[in-house]
Amino acid sequence: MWKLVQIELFKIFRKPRTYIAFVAITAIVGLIQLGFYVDGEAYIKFGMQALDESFNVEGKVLNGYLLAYIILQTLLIHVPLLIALVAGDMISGEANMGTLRLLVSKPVSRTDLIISKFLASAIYTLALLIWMAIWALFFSLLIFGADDMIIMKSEVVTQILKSDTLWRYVAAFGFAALAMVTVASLAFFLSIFAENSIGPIMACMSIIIVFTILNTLNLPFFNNVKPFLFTSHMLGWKGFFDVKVNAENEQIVGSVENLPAVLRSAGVLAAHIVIFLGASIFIFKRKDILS
Amino acid sequence: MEKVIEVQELSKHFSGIAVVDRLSFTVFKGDVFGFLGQNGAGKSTTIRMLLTLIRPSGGQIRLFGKDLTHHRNDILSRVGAVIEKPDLYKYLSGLENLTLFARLSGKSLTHKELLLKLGMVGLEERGRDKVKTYSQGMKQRLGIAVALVHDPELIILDEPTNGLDPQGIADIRNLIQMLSRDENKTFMISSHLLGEMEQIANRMLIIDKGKKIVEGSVKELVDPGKMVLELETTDNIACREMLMKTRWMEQIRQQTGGKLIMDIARNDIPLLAKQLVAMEIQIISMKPVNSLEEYFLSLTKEKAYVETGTN
Repeated sequence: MWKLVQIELFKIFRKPRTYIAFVAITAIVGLIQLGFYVDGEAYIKFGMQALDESFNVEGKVLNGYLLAYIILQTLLIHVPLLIALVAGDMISGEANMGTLRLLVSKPVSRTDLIISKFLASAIYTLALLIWMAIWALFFSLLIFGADDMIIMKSEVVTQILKSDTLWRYVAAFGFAALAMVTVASLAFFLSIFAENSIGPIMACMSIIIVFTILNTLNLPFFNNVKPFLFTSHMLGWKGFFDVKVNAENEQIVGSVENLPAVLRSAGVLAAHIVIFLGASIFIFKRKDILS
Repeated sequence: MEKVIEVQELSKHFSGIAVVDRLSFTVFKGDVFGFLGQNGAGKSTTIRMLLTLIRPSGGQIRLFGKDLTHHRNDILSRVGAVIEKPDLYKYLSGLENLTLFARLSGKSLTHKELLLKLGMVGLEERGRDKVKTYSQGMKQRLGIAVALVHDPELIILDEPTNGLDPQGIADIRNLIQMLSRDENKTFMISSHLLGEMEQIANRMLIIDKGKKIVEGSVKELVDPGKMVLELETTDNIACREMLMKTRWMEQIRQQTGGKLIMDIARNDIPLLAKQLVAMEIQIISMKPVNSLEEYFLSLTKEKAYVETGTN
């Protein structure tokens, strides 16, 4: 199996389109960092106006941790497109090139072929998120330094101690990876039905957009469906930045306010991956290769 | 003789239409087996079923004496194939493509061995170039190298000379003959060109609309002493009238577009020319027709499907 995964990874990383995502993430993160480097203090001052009236905030509010949070929040909405670009091409791209028939006629079972291709696209997704973590977190810390992180959510202000932040990012990126692998598994599943990659990429993005719109509609009919949509759980990583407080309203270091909800979201995403991968194997094993 | 391919009552239906219809044939070890049929006859569908790309609607396939469904991976590790177009990874080099498919077939070859494989198809100097820079003929040759890379016992080639120039066709023909003669490899080669198959195959199968028309040895099926002739003269009516009075009367098949098509023994051609000249009928052209279509006509004229040789 590992040999097949290696072959698939070799093909992915020899394709120029693979690097579009890495370049895009580098460019966007770099631009955000540049913007905050030039004008960040004024932006933070404006955002903190209301808080400054009641609290005396000391220290470096605009720090690497806060910037990483802003970047993660902004980028994770767009990253699915970059993931779909590669995962949606895994089968349909081979069909389009005409290499699928050669691949399937080799002494490798179709199940192994599908699993290895899926694992390769999952590894690509992880590589993309690690790249994003390096740029968004590591370089932000390098440029803006580290301090306690202050997050404002409508009526709640959360302050997370500097020493209690890094592990939360590791967990958040892990969760984000799970969410993005779910997107990859959907794009991968759709790629089985097409003979060019545009269809699966567009279909994957359309499904994400439609589901996201359904999430925002507060109608009883849709409310029953929402818990089962993977898009409802994709932003679960934010849960790692909600901190428990004790009776004295002091932050409990290392705590997550609603860990069961975060784990439930992770479970729903994992279930989607299993369903999409299982369906991909089931259909591909029975498919006539006519391309 | 050892049977390499045994196909029995093989069928494939698409939306209720039979593309391959109860097809049976046998390929023996060391055969260069010509698989002939016009476009849409069901050749590629049959080959795809032999390579497990398409699930048959009915029938049985045995390769190397084993059932294909139950011993798929074991069987396919002994088979190399070029299916229709030789599509490969265009963003990779020829060598990289070769390495990749060798590994997929369970073989790990050294750089020297890979270059040797490329050398067999005359591509050793272009091995490092990306496939997207290759001409159609070079892609075809690389496709054949990919089919041979893991040293298979059975090689299935679907229209292997498509896109090749005459020299390229001759090179591939020589390669097939060399591998068949020196290494006792078994080939199954699909084509719609009878003339091409006559030169390399020892046995052949002709199918039409998914059904077998004829199977047997090339010597038995293609009589070199007889040929189909296309005749064009300055006065075709007079020519026809003249022929109707001769022993060739029975052999006139049709008159299309001002040309006569007739069966004739090769030795009779000078005599026919002499008689036409004597009758002052001037010959514009005399052309042998050896297309598969004409061969079909010659077979179906007798209103019978012929089976010779093995069956």
